[in-house]
Amino acid sequence: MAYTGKILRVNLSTGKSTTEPLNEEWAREYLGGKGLSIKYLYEELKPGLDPLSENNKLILMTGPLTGTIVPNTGKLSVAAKSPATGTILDCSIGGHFAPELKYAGYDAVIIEGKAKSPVYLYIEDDKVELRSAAELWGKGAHETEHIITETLGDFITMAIGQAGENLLPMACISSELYRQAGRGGIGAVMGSKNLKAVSVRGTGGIKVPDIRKFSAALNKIKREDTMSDDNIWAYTDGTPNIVDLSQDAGILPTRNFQDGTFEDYDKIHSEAVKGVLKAKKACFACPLGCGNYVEKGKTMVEGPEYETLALCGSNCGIGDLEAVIEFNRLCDDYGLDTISAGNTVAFAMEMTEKGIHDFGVRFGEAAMYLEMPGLIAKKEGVGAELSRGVSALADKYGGKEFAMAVKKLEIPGYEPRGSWSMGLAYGTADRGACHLRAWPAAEDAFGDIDPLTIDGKAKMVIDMQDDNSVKFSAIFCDFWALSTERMAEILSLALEREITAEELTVIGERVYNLARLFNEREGFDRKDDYLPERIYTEKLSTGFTKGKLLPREEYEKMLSEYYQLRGWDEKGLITEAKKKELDL
Amino acid sequence: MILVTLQLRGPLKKYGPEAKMFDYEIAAESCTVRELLEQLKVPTSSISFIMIDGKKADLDATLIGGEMVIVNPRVSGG
Repeated sequence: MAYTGKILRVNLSTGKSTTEPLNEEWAREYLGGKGLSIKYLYEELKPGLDPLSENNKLILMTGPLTGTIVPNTGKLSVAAKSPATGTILDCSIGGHFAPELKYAGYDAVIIEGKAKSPVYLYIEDDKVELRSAAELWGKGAHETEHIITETLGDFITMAIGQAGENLLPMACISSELYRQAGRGGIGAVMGSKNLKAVSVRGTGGIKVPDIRKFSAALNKIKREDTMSDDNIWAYTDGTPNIVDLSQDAGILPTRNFQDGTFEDYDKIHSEAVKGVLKAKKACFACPLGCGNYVEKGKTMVEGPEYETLALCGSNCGIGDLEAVIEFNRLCDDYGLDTISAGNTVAFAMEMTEKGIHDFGVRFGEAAMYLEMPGLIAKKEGVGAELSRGVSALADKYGGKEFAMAVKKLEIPGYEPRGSWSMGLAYGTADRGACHLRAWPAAEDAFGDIDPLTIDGKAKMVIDMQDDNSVKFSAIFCDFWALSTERMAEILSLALEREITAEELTVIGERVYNLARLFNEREGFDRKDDYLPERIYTEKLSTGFTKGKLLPREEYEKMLSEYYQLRGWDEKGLITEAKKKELDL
Repeated sequence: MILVTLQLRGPLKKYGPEAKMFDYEIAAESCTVRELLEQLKVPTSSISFIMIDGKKADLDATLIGGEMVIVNPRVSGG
């Protein structure tokens, strides 16, 4: 059976761990990953709790295919209530942690309470211990991983750096140095529990019905589908590919989203990254291997990904690849989300240059820019203020119109004024501004559909959100653009029951609505689904999107159409009829 | 006979001489982007969007020589 059927529950307050059966009814309705972790959180968390209190829970959730040879299934969902936004939060981390957890015998780990002093969670098959992290606390995620690996050997570890310890809203969790569960302050949840790291080793395996039939089918699917032209960009280039696309389409965030093209884009695009490429890297069971391990001068990183090249490169006016690589490496080590960190530094740069408040950092100036990750993570100097993120900074110092966030989560690398559908995607994403719930830029800005109209965009965003919801619940990596038919075919082989694409589509819609219901219970509604003022009122000034903006009236119409198609009311609340339809 | 300058980006490079940018001769007075891609054997399903001289263009746009044509690949995810 592809599920292990067992969940590990760790209570950090009592120091005790127990196992319990996987809730099979919920597993049928939500599959695993994103959906199932949100279901457990919805049922177990009281509304209104403080995400940094011991009452929050951190869930590490695998999927039914995790640990099998199915391509692109090596990721782990990491979920909690978000310290940055107060919404539901699910993140996705690659590498090798998820299969190791499955081989140790667990579909998921639910971490509750708070340890009295810093610990790390040790899992080796049935042996589960809380070990002292006194020697590790205060160290970066990289040094932490190195020390644990020296001590334990062949374990996979995920760890927080100083940012998570200091409870920053932009703190992430790192694993294998350069993979992250990135957004929404997920690292601060660990920090608030005095949990420095989780290390796992598993010696078991996964059984699927008829391994020969399974292998033959999956090898064929890998060749014909996974490795097809739709996805091969991940292998040949990885995400830096997107710098050129964004520049051409005029949606590359530049100098705190003041513009959509960057004059030095060709210093940080795919060709530039290839110039310093040392090795390609892949997650477990992935034939695409999108990871680019690069070295330049004295720095190195697996990356930079597009989001980092955009938010920490063009968005900060930095057209120096070595500086972006070093900024990336520092963020990975200190445990900072590069999207939020890049946005925060860019906001500080604009505030300084406009003379509104001097944060001591300016667009294009690499020296001070490179000081930022350390100052922010350790809350030292100007970092003490910057560590709070753009929304809190704007509340205190002004600049609200250009504090680029939705629900206090900083905006990813696609300018909504050049892709109106991305504006809607950011406004209606469950965890705040996110490009991974729906990525409609692929169809309009990067496709042949007019990006500057609202026609058909609500439906497009809804379909993508539902599709990605089931995809991240089954756990397939984003970068394999597989159909629900293909997902159904593979799941049917692994689970020995017939699953249809229609059933998966319903699961996707159910997951997305459950996430919305969680947020409703926390007081979120239409008023929280809007974009920063800059998007509605300031025109871009260069390139393909010169003179463009997203008029507020158009956004309102698009949002209303979105609610209507979703079966929600005008306030963005799910109707009783829709809840009944989805068994919520 | 007309000459255009081509950039086949990312994984589309394999359909050309594996260079960042190259000049390509078309044996006609003019041709559409679609015809150009057919000549190069680039499947239209593999492309995301086309730029001609810095402006987005569709497959039926006509080339008369001297243009800079950028062909971008499909991407998934973000």
